[in-house]
Amino acid sequence: MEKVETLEKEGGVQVYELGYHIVSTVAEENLPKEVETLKAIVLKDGGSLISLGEPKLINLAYSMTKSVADIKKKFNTAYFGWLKFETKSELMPMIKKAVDANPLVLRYLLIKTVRENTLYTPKLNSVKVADKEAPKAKKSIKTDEKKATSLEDIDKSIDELVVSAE
Amino acid sequence: MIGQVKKMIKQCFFSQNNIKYVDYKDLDLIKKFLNPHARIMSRKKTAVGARSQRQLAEAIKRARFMGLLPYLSR
Repeated sequence: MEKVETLEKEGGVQVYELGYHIVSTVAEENLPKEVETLKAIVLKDGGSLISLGEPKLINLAYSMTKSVADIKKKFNTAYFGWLKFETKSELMPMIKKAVDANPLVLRYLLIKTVRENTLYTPKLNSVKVADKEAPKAKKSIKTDEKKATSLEDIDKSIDELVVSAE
Repeated sequence: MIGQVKKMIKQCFFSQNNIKYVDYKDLDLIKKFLNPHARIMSRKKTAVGARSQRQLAEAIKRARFMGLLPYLSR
């Protein structure tokens, strides 16, 4: 219950994500058009788009079937994309029906999610690299200073020697 | 000798890396917790916390449904 309360906002507005597979028979030139139709379904009646993943052709882990006009078709590849959006929870049955009716959507997943980016990016590695680089740079500066001072000292000592010899 | 034996304390990967939400699209992360047969590894092996294990299991099942991961392999 707590989880639902924290996810849902005032007025029944909630963040959702629609993950979808568009059938691989669609030409790549027509993909933006299909994405626009899905966007229009999702953003109907005052919804707002948060982020999206462009559809990419992927090999499916197992073959999926879709029957369109009483003809079953098998698919091993599909264009996978996703849309993260915010809308009223009352509109979800309508959105589900509309996506179900789309003959080019092979499969879809409609879930509740959070506004923030949920994809994990390894931050630790970048921190470690920066930490390692910083001390090296310091060391190199120190060595340069040392070299400079030592050269000056040598010059001075040579001058002193020359003077004493004269 | 008995006092010198130290146990390695495992910690939850998700709490260590401050991951609060497991995404079904994050396949590189999810695959770490699957065995070669594509089955979900037990908490006993991975030391993942109870809440994270539940989130992970849900993410894996979603990825399977979407054909991003297999239900079984080999």
